[in-house]
Amino acid sequence: MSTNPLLQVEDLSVSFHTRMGKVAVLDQVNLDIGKGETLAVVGESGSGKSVSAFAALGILDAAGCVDHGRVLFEGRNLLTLPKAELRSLRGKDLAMIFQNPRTALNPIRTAGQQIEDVLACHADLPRRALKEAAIEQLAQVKITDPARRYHAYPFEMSGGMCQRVMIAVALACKPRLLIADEPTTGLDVTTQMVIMDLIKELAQAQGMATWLITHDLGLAADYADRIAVMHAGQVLETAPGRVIFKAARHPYTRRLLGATPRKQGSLEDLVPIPGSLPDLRQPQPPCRFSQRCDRCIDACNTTALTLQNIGVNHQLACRNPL
Amino acid sequence: MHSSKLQLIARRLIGALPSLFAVILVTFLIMRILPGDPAAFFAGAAATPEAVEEVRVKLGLDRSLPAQFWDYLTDLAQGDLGQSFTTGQPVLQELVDRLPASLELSALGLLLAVMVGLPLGVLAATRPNSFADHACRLLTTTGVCLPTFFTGLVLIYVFYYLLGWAPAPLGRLDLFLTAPERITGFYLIDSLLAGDLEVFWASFTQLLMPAITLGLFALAPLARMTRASLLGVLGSDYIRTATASGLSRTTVLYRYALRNALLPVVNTMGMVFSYLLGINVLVEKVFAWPGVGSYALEALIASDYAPVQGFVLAMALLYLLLNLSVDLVNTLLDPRLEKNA
Ligand SMILES: Nc1ncnc2c1ncn2[C@@H]1O[C@H](COP(=O)(O)OP(=O)(O)OP(=O)(O)O)[C@@H](O)[C@H]1O
Ligand SMILES: [Mg+2]
Repeated sequence: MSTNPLLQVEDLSVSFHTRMGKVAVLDQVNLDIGKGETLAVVGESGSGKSVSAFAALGILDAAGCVDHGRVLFEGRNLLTLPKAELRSLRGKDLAMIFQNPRTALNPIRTAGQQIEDVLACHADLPRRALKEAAIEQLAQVKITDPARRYHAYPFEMSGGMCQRVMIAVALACKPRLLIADEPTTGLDVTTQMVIMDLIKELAQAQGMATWLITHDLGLAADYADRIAVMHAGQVLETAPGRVIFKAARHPYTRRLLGATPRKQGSLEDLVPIPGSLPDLRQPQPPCRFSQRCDRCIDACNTTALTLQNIGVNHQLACRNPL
Repeated sequence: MHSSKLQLIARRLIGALPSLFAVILVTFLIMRILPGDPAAFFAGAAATPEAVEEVRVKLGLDRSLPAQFWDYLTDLAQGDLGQSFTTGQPVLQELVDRLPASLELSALGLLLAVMVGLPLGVLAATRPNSFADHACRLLTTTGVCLPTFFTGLVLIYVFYYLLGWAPAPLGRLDLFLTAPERITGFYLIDSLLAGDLEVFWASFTQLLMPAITLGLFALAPLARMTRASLLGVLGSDYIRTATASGLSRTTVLYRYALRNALLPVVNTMGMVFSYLLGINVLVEKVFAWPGVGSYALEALIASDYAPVQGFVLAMALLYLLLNLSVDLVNTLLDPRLEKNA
């Protein structure tokens, strides 16, 4: 638990209505992010990282529904907030950048226009000042020749450039929390680092908290204060990056570490995680990792799973930890 | 920007020349393959074979096909579409006289369809399974099933014969009124220019039933395309971005979603308009509308070559202009096209 929480996700359960019936995707997700803190949420593809963030912002698909839980932003529950109030928070205090920068920007509006749209919506600026502010915003994300890029359409820019514009859109109103959903997938390695450094630098300069979503533990360790490990819609372990790497207690965290390339060490050392994510359309045991786990005991399949404090900033949900 | 548009226009016009030539050739041949002998028709039922032959020579129909085609082409190059055997008038003059009637009708039909179809499609997409969604589905299926001339006849039966709300389906204007002075040829516009509201209203009421007949046909593809396109756009990533940025519902729906969704709808509009020009032929017949469609139909029945050839050529040119304007509108809406053009 951070001592000064900005955002608290409490027991969040989300399900989707599909043709094959109701799918319980998130199961009692608990996360918290302190002011100015960076929390990385790590997990395999399909573990519910994006869904948690979408649910928190109230931008789930129509098929999704929150069954249970609260999302407190400075004490206010975002899930029960009137629509208009939530809308005035989104983009202003809470902003989000997305997995695929090319499709996340409106293809027929220029970079500048899309920044202006957000500014016009939240900032109290006269019309004339909008353009200037948008260009300044482009300069802030280190786009060269911002006055010219102001007129550029997404299809005229590279993926990395689109992600910078996306960041400029998200940070236009200096939000207090940025949700970055895999901001570097689809970008080449050098661009990845540049973008991550940019986010970190801007976050530090503005005292902004970051909810970083990634499947890359190495990236999480480099950029986050704390790491939360998710599996099949459950948070299994939360701890500072150091602790995750040195003293992880959850078998899944260990497996994930074993599958993450290290700076020293060769590719042969990597061990894939056995099995695959469980089919969430079927009823699940309390611990959704139990079928893939070699330390599974009877209690795993009978008693409810809760996230317990087991040390300073260290939380764990496991019946038979390491 | 300007020069790229001019280039686009020039490229399209030059690119269309081969297909225009093909249209001219094929219509020419089809007219001569179809049964029917204009010389016999022209000479009258009581004419002797010698008289028919005389007429044939006079009309130049005794010459070989290539020679006739060459004559036709050289006339065309001088802007001469030939003369109608039946009316004795130059075809070009008659087409120019009658085209505004057809265009006014088709345009109003399309306008009605757009005014109903787009909002219906938007409502259906934003409120799935609502009343609007079901209405959209019902209208689009029935609109496709009913043949236009049948809808036209039903409308006449109900609104003219049974209810007496609509004026008699006999052309563009009540017999007791005089047509406005010709400026554009569109009665609605010309009457307004002349400041004659009575004629405006009279021609509007005459237009309404045939236009609704056309509109009902055009409604289905427009509403369906709007709905499908908007549904696709609403599920896209940039709409999620816009929502996550806290933009208002109207901004998200109109500035972000609808503008993107309109791109394929504009293409559909062009396509539907060209269908309407074709369907006009039947609707004009039903409503005794003095347009180019009924003109061509009568000429076809009389094996009167020149008007039919002129009509098909005029339609081909219209399609060409229509496609060109659709492309121009698209480049205005979609920056990706402009830069690639
Ligand atoms: N609209 C939806 N309808 C049904 N199921 C959905 C929907 N959106 C997400 N899901 C399900 O929710 C689960 C979690 O998806 P989510 O997108 O959050 O995964 P993720 O952790 O972000 O993975 P990735 O790394 O691939 O982005 C998946 O099993 C997915 O099938
Ligand atoms: Mg995701």
